[in-house]
Amino acid sequence: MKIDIFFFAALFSLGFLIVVLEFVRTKKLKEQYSLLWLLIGAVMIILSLWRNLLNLVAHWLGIFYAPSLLFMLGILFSFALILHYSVIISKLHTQNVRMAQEIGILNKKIEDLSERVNGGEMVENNTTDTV
Amino acid sequence: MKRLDTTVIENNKVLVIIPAYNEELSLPGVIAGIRKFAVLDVVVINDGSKDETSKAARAAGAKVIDLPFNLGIGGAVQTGYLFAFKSGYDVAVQVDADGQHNPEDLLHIIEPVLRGEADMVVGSRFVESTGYKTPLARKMGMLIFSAVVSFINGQSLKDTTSGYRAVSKRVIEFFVDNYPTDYPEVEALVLLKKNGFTIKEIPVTMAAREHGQSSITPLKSVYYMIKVLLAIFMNILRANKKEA
Repeated sequence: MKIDIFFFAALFSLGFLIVVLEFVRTKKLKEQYSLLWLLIGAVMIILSLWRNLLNLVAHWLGIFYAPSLLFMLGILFSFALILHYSVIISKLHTQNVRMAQEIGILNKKIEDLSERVNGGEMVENNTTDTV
Repeated sequence: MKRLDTTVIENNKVLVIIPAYNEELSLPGVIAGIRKFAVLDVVVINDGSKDETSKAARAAGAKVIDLPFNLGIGGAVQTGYLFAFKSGYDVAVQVDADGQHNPEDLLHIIEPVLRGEADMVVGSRFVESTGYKTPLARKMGMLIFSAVVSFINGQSLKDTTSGYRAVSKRVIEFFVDNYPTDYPEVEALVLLKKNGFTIKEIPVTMAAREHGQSSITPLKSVYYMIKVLLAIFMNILRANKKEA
């Protein structure tokens, strides 16, 4: 095997895949969020090992300079990932709002209860001071 | 000066929801004003204020829910509806904390909901001439919203941005899971109509702000416009999908 850019690309892709899998194994990355990364890693390995594939696909698509296909794929993947994260953030945002609302109402209930129990003497309530 | 009929109130638990962000100056007056006209439960949703909003509201005799951080008007108001739902209120009335809403109108806004004439009653500045003056740019925006919402809902609605509104128990329950995040007033009208609730608009008088200033700057109002129109458009798409 020639030591050239394809060799380093393959090495890098392999390392990338291993890091992603390791993150999943050690539960630093959830399975459902690792799928896109694994797919990217797999595509990178295939492209760097199968040298002619890039040229072939580029030729089919009418791209004269094959590496620009790589850039395009990279950008498309990035877009997909970022969109994926926007969706996740929206969901987290909704959950976050509901959590804050529930906390507010729970604090109110705790206040009312402790007032009833302690005869109007409030137990120290830190939640509003921490922001 | 009419007070709310107490017998009606006894059978129907009414909650006044006041979302407040840094409104320590105007809140006491607003709460006292409400108390003057009706004996109602008042809950202030303190939306992560940096001033003494919470203390001021407590001192004025309101229930206070302190949110752990700022959620914005939609999230704050929804907290009120969530509280109303959990506490079993029959009617919820939204009132702004800045003193723009005249408590004398409370009765007129609540009554149609109590009588079951409408699921939501909106206190409007424009139904009749109510002596409310607006800057031109703002008026334009309001006219556009009014035209769009009236067209979609098939019902003339003049003051779609008014935050002075009363809703029925069914709407309270609906709002617990369906309330827009920011600039929610306009969108809520489309949302309600789409889900088969009835809306009524009645004239109210509005005062200029007593303290502080409107949270809407020119740049924000552009965002406001686009966000709300997009939300309304999305609502139409969703409804069509369901019917198909």
